[in-house]
Amino acid sequence: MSVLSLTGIVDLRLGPLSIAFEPGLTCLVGDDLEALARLADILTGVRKPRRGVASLDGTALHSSPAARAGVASMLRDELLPPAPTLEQAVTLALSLRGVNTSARESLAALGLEAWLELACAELSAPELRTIALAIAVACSERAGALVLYDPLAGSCHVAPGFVIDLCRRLSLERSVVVLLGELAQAVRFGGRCVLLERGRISPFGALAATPPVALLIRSPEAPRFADVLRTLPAVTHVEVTGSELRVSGGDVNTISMEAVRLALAHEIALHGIELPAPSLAEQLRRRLQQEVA
Amino acid sequence: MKSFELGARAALRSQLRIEGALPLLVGSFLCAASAWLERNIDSSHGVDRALTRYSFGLWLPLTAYLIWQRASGSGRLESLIQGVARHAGNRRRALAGASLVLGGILALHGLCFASVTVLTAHPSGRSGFASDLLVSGWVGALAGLAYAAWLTVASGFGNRGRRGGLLILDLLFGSTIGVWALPFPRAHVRNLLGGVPPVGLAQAASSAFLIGLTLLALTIALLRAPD
Repeated sequence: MSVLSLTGIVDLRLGPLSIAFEPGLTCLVGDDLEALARLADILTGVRKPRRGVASLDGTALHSSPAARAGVASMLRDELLPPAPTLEQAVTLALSLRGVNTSARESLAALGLEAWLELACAELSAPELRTIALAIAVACSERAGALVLYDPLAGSCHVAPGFVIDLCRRLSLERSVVVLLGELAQAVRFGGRCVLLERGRISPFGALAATPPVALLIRSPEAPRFADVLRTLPAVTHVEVTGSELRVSGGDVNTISMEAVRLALAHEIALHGIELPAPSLAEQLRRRLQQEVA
Repeated sequence: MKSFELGARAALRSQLRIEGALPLLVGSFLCAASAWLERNIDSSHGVDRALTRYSFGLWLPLTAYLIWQRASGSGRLESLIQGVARHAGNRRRALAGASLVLGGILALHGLCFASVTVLTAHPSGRSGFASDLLVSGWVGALAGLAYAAWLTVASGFGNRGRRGGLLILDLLFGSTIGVWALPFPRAHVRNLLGGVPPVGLAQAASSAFLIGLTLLALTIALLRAPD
């Protein structure tokens, strides 16, 4: 069981901060995306902080290729080893990390095998991030930690449910750190939540692994739809208020997909599905009010 | 060795395409133009003056600067090998590979500049063409390697590398003949081409100095680089 830790880190818009990420899922939430991206770079050993050390099991990441190989990751700005085609670049990346999986297998795990022949020079930033995720997934079984920067961003060509499931599964044995710009997304991941405020870390508390989140569904036939939704095994509670339904249960992705399927099957009009969660700014404001009170 | 190879490959890729060939083409043209001017001014010393003043005094350092700027994206040379370091490659080995390839490219530039200059400035019908070509060729290659090593060291300092600063120091101190000229390639290259030696050094000593400085600079650059 590996421990990813930051000790006395100081960098631009960061720190001083010290924290240890024990095995388990930690969502690091902050509204300064630049600082989060920088922190992700430090956590993976790509960037050396001005002061302090990021380490995996006590080995400094920036100065140890072996330690860096122990952290599977997806950063904001991704790079590939120099190679003309994607297949060659991914093969090189995997071999540098000591992983025996082929490039084809790695990309196929995310349904990206059609990209194999693409030229590296033509890849866009979101495509590079998606490929980095494929490499991270291929390395994840060997790695001691997983660090993902904003993996639910719309620009990433992978379904959110896949990433969330991957993080939850890997967090049983590894440190999984997910850096996010919105608390609502952290709620979807569950696990421990830590806030990055003005470059410093403050514990926010634990989020349930299966978050008690209510999906807000708008439908003109709310009472009828509520009866239909109650038949779903993933749904534990449905509350109707006018044309709105608050649906609680297991994985919100599953519930929302099932809701759409059932609405189509029963010909019930849907006006919207939302995952209402307070914004980070609102959460911080509430905390501040509590402290003042 | 994979990191070394990838570093070398990254350096080579940074100098490909037509933009990569521009320093060689433009530099060779400028060498030829300045050699032609020197030949018309004073044909007996045209070769020496063209090599000392322009080809190795101006165009080679400027070309070296442009090559390094292109390779490092106007930043530190480490940025060239970030793709290797990002995937757990060894930075130091990758940097060694990249430096050697860039050094080789610059040595080739030095050789080309020397050849073009001698070909243009050498008075027709006068003997000694082959020996001029041979001597200036190896001095050019050695000068290229020396500048490459120094620029690699300078690229490891500051946020964007201190290459410009190093070349200014080379111009200021390397042009003198005192003890302050000793660390700079310009002084030794001038000596090897028959110019005024720094602190009265013999040409053999200047060659040894230049080779020693190149190795020292490379060692410093690699020792400063993290794994």
